[in-house]
Amino acid sequence: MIDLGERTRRVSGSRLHDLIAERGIRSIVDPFMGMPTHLNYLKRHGIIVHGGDLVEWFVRAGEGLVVNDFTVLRDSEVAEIVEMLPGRIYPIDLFKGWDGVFFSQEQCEYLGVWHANVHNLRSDGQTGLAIVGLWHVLCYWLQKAHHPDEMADLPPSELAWQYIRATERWVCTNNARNTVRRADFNATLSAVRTDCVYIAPPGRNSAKKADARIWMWEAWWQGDPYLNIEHYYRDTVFGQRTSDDGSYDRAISSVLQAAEASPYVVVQTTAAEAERFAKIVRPFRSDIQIVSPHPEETYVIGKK
Amino acid sequence: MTLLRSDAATGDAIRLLSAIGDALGGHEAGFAMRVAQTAARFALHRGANAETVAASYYAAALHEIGAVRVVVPENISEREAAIAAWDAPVAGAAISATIGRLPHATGDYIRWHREAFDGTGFPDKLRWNGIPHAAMAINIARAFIATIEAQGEDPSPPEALFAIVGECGRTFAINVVREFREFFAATATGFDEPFEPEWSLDGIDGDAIVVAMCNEIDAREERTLGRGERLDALVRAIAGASPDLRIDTDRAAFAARLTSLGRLRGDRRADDFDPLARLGREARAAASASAAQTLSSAPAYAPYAAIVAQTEEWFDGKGLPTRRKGEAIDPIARVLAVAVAADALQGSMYANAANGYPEASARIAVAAGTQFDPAVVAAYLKACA
Repeated sequence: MIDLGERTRRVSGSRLHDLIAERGIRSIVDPFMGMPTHLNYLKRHGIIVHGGDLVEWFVRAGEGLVVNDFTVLRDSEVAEIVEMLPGRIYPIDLFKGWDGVFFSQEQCEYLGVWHANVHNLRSDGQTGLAIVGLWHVLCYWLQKAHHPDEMADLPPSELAWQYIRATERWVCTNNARNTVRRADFNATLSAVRTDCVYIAPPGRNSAKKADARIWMWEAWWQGDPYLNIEHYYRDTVFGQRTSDDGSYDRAISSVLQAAEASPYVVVQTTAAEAERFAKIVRPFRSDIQIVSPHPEETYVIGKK
Repeated sequence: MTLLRSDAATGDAIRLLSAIGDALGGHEAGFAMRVAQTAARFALHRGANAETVAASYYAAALHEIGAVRVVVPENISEREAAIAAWDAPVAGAAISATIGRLPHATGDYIRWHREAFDGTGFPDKLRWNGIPHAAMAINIARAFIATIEAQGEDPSPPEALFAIVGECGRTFAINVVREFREFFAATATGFDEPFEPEWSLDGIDGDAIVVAMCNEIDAREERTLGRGERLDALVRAIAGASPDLRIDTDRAAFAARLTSLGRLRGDRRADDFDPLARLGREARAAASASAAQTLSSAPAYAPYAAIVAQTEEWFDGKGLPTRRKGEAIDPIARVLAVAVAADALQGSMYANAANGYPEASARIAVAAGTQFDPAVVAAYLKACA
């Protein structure tokens, strides 16, 4: 059975909004955005947001939740995603490799159907919303594999319908140009100019801790059940040959260096690590403030 | 202005705020306190320390209060209205932070009590273990009590538990639901019995909290912005102009601010009527009754309920709701009736010469002896002069 991580890093858009609103920040970029629900929150409150990530499905999700201002999924369009359409030949064996390992045969067939349907959608916005909605189904199934008797047994298409409908309600507009890109931090930070750079740095050895729910969904999006995303991390500034504190700190420094044009930089960490990160931020920002509303949610805010 | 200074009174201020949250959320009075009691007992069952139990209690009591800062404009889509409501927990957290001396985690629990385990909640779409379990426990208590409330006169707690279990793995974390089932089995029917957290609120000015909340209610509409301040000043001016009225000025000024509570429920279109016309009388009396009902939720503020309930009684006995006459109407209520009407007239089209109406003081003067106590009107006119 697949291991589902007990700890989840909390990235709170509302908390971030409180912090940046106090400082009059109007635009923000997150070069390691992950699932961009925090950017969606900020966008809903009028902040101009930009994001970047190397995992493609995060970027697709960003196209649905961050870039997309108006496209929603109507009932008929959701039906086109969640059900097998008559007359179309589906690759129902595409995820056979997961059959009996993580999912049932029926679930694997649906994953194949959804993969084909989502790749046939008409816009990036719709695709992004569908990906996020269906990702919730994957998470539900993995969770249910752990607790089969405690979670309701819902038909795949019904579950997918509910989640896609829930997701498409998140679409909002801030009357500004918001972007996401599949790129490393350098490309993301050099492409946009913002008041603030927000970084929630990936942990050391992140690839080893990558949540199954994240890498499996990338594998689904790529249509390759045997895909692994270790090289994504290796390709980043954090994936150095030696994985020690010094290399990690240097990696953070290089991100901060790339962020030098922004008046503010906000680094999210924990209370235990706050001083260490403050030390890394200090050479790049003269005015450092540590805000710690919760021990596991501490922000090092550097101002030029 | 401070009328009450004790632990009990501060607790009552929290109780009143929770009743305000009930009114904002469209629940029956006492809903949030039942949630608070259930959440606190559940926290105890989960082995939480005293601070977490207290934080759960206060967060649950105030879980709806943020709705006071969410004003959904008319004529927007259902979708936009739903999205606007997502900001209520964040506003609630901000309000709880202004109260001070509440347990540190209270704000966070309010902020995240509507998050869902699967990441589809609000405001932040947090997921899995990123949501504090205590916040999720409050959400379970809220959903449980709401289901019982929706069952009406024949409530079935086991059915309500079934509704919670049905959301296992989606809205609620599996382990927290499991703990709630154990709690339910261990507690049977006493899950929402009265509970007092072991947490001192010494030094909090309960009245200041209530006044601040009344100001927030006034700020929801442009026409009532700053109304509390104006009424306070007007009531003091009327009382000052005629000592014969023999009213406690501080009490009267405080009661004037509490009339704002009547604006939480009911039909706001009544405000479009002439404040002295019979046409909007039922709606105004309903607002007074609603304010009185909210005030009755907190024992320390219950004496004000009787005063506020009488502000639509007329001096000649033709008012509502009980048609009291003359001296039978509470003296403070007689002063409030004039002050509230005068404030509503100020700046309205019904006290504007361009629309063919005399100015506010002249209109109030005409109603002396019928709608208003002549002695109060005389004091008002003296204060205006």
